[in-house]
Amino acid sequence: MFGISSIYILDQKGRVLITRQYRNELPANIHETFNKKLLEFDEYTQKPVMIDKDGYTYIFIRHNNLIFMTVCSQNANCLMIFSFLFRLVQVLQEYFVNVEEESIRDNFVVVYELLDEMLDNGYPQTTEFKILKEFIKTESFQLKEKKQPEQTNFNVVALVSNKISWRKEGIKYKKNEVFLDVIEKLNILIGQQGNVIKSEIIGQVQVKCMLSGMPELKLGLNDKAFFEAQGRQARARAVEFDDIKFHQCVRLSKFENERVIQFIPPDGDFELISYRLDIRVKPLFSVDVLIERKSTTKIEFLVKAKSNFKPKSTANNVEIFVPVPEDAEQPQFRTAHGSVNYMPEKEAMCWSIKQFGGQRDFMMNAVFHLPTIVSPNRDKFQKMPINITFEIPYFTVSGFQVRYLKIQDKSGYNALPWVRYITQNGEYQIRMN
Amino acid sequence: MAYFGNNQQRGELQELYIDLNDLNFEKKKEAIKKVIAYMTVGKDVSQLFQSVIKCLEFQDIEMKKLIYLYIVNYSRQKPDDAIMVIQNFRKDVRKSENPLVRALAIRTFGCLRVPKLNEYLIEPLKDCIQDDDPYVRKTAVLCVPKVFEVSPELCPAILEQLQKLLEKESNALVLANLIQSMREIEVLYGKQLIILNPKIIQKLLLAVDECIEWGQIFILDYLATHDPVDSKQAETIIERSLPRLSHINPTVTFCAVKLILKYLDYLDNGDLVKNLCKKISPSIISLLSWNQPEIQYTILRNISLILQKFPILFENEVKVFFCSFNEPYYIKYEKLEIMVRICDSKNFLQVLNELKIYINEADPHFVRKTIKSIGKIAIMYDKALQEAVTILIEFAKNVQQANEPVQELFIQMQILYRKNRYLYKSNDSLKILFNILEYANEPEAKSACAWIVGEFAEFIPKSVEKMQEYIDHFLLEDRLVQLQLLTSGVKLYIKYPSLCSALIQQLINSAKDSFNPDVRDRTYIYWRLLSTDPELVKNLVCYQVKGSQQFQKDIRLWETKDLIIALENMGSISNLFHKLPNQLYKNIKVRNNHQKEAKIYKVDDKLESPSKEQQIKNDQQNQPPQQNQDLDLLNFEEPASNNNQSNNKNKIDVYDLI
Repeated sequence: MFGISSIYILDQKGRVLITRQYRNELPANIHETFNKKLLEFDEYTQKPVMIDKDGYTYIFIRHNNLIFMTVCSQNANCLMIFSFLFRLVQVLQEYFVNVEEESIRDNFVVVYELLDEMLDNGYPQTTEFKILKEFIKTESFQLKEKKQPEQTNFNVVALVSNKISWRKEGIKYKKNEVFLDVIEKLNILIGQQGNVIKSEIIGQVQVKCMLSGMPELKLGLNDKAFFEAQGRQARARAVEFDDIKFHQCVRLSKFENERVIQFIPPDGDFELISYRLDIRVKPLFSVDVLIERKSTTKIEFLVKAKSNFKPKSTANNVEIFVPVPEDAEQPQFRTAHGSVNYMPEKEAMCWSIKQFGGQRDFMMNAVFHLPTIVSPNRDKFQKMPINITFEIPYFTVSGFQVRYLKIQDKSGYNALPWVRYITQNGEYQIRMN
Repeated sequence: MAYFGNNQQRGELQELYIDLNDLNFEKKKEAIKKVIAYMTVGKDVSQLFQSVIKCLEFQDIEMKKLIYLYIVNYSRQKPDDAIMVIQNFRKDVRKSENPLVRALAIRTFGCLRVPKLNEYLIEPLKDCIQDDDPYVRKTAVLCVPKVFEVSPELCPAILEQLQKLLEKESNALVLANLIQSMREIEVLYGKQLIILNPKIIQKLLLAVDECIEWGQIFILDYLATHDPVDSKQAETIIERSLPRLSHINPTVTFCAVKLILKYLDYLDNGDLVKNLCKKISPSIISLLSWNQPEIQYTILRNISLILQKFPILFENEVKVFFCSFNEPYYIKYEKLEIMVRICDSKNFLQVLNELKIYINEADPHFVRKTIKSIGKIAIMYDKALQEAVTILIEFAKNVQQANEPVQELFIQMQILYRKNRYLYKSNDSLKILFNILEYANEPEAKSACAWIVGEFAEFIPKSVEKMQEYIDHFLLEDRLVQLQLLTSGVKLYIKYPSLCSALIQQLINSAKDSFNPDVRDRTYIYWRLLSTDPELVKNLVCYQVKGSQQFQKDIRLWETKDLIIALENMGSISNLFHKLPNQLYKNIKVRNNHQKEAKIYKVDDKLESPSKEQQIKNDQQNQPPQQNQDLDLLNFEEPASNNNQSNNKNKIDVYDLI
């Protein structure tokens, strides 16, 4: 396993914004070989990894018109490089908010410093923003703070190689609080008869931590495996995770052995848990579309949307995207609930309903005119799926619950944990054909 | 800051020179930033080398970083000037109280790669490896391979020092970097440097718990190359790595999977193996739910390898590989391939139903592959035949132009008809295909059409006319089509001797002048046979198979010994291209592998397997004489076909879990 030879940040035309070589063994204009190579492929055949005739491999991702590209001359670990590139973008985002041509150019000094610190000899090193920001600072940030004595640098260095590299000592808050956001995304694919083809729930626990000192946290969930490990009868609404992954602060071996989630949190925002449930979910929304072609120049849609969750919950900002023929025009919409927009660029109409109560159904009627000259892809829309986006607050599809969050610190302060639940759409698709 | 203004004036370098030599510190710093900005956009600022390195005197870290960056960039152009920096470097490494500066200096030093500088480097490097601060040590350790690559003759002492460090180092991050660095030197050096003993393994496992995520990857990936001494050791290491499956970084999870899969072979406890498989499977599948297609792609490419040795991991998981509408096509391709490979007697209908939807996709290559996959499934499972034909014929009804999928349609329909001749009766398939015959333009598709016309001549109203059309352009056709036309023409003649006598004459006349010796040979054979014993020709050419033929399912992509090497390189670039590392990179020596056989981990299906094997054996015996033009019906992926052939020779034994 080898490291990255060099990294390039290119603009959308393939010009170099910033480059850093880690192993000086590459031809100088290798990014031009890359640009040429890119042109060999079309949207169907383009892959994120390419190799040229000299054996150089180009591994790249795109972000906001930028290309983050690495060149490897050896058999490096490709997965590690992708993970690193995504992390790099993430770190840059925390620094500059918008990572685009402008911000990279304006902050080239910081980007150089980051590239120097995050990779050494082509191997990823410290990539934790909370640490990097301690010793690599943007100019605007630096102006505000007075020149710090050299002393802080020593602490920083200790941080990097420390066991708890994600939190520094001496953090202080007047009011100690922790906010947990449980966000579940439902990926579901529904067939034309309303049968569920596949469904999974991807969940996340986002934490905003505002605690002083070095607190030790213990989180209890309604985890079925936990109850079983304790030899207790599982509760009725216990969740069985197919897979659960943690932020690096969680003691993984403790979880593996006792199913206890214990950790010293980083300061501020971070993602504590991500989990996946591979269970059959009843569709939260079902949509029926009836298409009637009254004549060759007129097409009518009758759309019926129904919510299947409990009446006490309400979905917000529901948007239902129904595909229409690409050459449809002069839309006429009729509905008693929400509003409908035609979105030609998406070849769809969007029916938005601000609030959609549980166990309700709504109807919508749409008429489009079709030009007499038939576009070759007119029937393509029937192959495209209906997409739905929504948010249901105070509700988790899986029944995920936080049972408790214990916070302990040497100083013995009282801290308040807050928990919020929300369910959102992931890839929520209904097939039409 | 507008460093990148276009209005560059002549005196710019001069101005910078003045600023660099200014007594005001802030002015100097601004000037250095400008120099780096010019360097970034590719302007040559090497003339300022002297003035820039003078600024190293200052202790400002940010400025130092920029100057070092500058030096790295230009040192190869100006090795003589670079020597002047040495003093400053040594001062930074030895005298600076700030570990950041020491580390920065040693890191930059390593990047210079000027051979004559390295002798000055060795001593400071040795000091840094023994530095009190772990941050400096972790940097110094990674510096060694850089120096080793340029001047290996200077390094023996340092290598020893590294080995000693491995024994006594206690900081997790340093240890991880040390392992990585020693591995790299091992490849360059061609000798083993890391000697694992139980104590060191224990230390590494402990470091995994304490290290940053990337360090965990280095250690896990290294341990995955190790061969455990016994089942006990394998068990301990697996146990300690299991928690990593819950790590949020996909690479950490994946490296843990790699390690565990490798060690499974060494375990003697069957139940444990089974339990571990149950744990690993959801972890791999979760990696596919990353919303970054690039990561999904890498995982999918590796799954198609893992699948060959561990079918058990994906039992009942076929749904995971169903494509969703918005995915990039490179993901869809991989999923499709895997779907067909894990399709089994229980879920083939489900898979077919899914493929039915993909056949309407926009990308013609993808549709083509879908059609091919439908054909593959139908060939493996008798019960799938009818459904497959229905799907393909439904597709054929909507064909309006000669495109790629249509070509594949003909090829697959021919194969299906060969498997079971009586399919021609279902769904009016012959009639529908006959209407679109003109769209065949690839040799293979055309030859399939010619076969269909000859084989089913009596059920196609205008078969003779169609054949006449083909024969009129005989010499323009590809060799493959010519050969098939010959056989089909003879078939037609046997079926309608009086109607086709002129046709066969014309055919033989054109064919005997073909440029291709194969075609000429075959022409003469038919000619002689027809003139001596027409009855024999009938038996030979119009042979009809009763019932449907059986084919064996083969999901192997690699030969056993290659598979083992590939699995050791899981996650790497070579695996992404489904190549062996030594095929891509010349300097990599493949570890000699004496393992001829690989354990295959699959779900125990005792009820089914013996009868299945029996069946296959019977079929092999009953196999009808091959037809003249042999088609490899089970031709899986093109690049792998070579592997398949040699693979069939050394049979892989099936390992049952209990």
